Amino acid sequence: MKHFLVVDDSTVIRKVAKKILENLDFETSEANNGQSALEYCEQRMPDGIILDWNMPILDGIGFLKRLRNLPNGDHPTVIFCTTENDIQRISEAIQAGANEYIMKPFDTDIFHGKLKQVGMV
Amino acid sequence: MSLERVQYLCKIVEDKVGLHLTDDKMYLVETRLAPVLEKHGYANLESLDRDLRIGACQTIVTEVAEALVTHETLFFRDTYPYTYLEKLYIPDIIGRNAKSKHIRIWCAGASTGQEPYSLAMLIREKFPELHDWRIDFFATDVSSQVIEKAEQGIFSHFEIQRGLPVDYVLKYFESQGKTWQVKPVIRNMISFQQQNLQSFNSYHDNIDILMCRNVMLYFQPGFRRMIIDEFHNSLKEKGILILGNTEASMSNRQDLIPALNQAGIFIKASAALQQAS
Ligand SMILES: C[S@@+](CC[C@H](N)C(=O)[O-])C[C@H]1O[C@@H](n2cnc3c(N)ncnc32)[C@H](O)[C@@H]1O
Repeated sequence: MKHFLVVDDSTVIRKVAKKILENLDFETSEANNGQSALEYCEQRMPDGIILDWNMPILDGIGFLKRLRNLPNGDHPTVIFCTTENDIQRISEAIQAGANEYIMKPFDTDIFHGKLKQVGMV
Repeated sequence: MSLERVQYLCKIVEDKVGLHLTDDKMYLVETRLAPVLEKHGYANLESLDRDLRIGACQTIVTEVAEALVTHETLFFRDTYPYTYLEKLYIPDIIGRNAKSKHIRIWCAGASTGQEPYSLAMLIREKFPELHDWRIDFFATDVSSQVIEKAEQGIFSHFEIQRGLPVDYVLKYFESQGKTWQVKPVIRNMISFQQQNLQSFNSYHDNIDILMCRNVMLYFQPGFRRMIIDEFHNSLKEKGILILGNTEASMSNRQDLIPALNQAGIFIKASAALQQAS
């Protein structure tokens, strides 16, 4: 069973994402900011991460840069999450090592499509 | 609304664009036609139906037809046709057309443009050697509404997320507030035209790549056969015909050879090969 980490400071988004992932037979875990996500990954590297941009303590980009420097940190497929059509932001995230991006709000269809695109389902 | 009335409306649409609505799709009629009713001030489907019977103007007939047709599409739909083109077929054409440096492509039933844009981006991205080739690229659809939208190349953030890899978004789209527009390098590759597949004399010819995906699904078998015959005429020798993934059984012509196990991809056999067999 593939393992996904949902990183977002909004409980609602975490719930929605987890629900979709669990319906697709993923094991899921969650973190509400970049710092605790990083600590989680140091213990157990997930196969996929869905990552928010704006979070307290350590934001998405900060997390991503540190993640990719961890041992085995290039393993997880990272789908980056934004709320705006900000091309600058998306491109910054891709440069920092994200594999795909998804815009909020997303539904099952779009999320599933993204997972397919990155070869997770 | 009686079934007989709904069937009558469906008949009009079938005459107009070939779309055959089966009885189980009849429930779509009421919801899909609601905007047309509102626009023209009809109180209900009965009054629209009455006007159509006494010969309402063509624009209303067209709008009814457009409202009932499915335009559903997404970028790089089903992935494998694009992989096949990239890995096997386009390299092959490059060899074959090396002298003329000329390729002709036709997407029929292109809807809002995701399909032709996917192919155009693929060509631009993966085949730099084609930059100085002449590429005639036609994208057609019976609905002028979707063809206009396709030509503008403006997509919502929902549309842009369906099937399109992020590298392509970053490279080939400009963000404009809440929407995204395809950049001119890609838009200018394609010529968008309103065209009804019922008018056989408007078909393009000498085509290397012909995509007509998820269009004939909605047509009656006889009409499908005629279209397949015309597509065969449209194709160059060794040209490729790409139908939808559920449309593989629509051709049983011996001179359209299935490629890629039953996935709706066919290669037009060369005359020599046909003679030999
Ligand atoms: C479901 S969409 C398919 C879009 C795209 N080819 C794809 O596979 O994603 C079908 C399209 O066929 C068009 N269509 C239906 N009847 C047609 C006809 N008689 N001539 C040309 N296009 C037609 C519709 O307007 C619609 O946009």
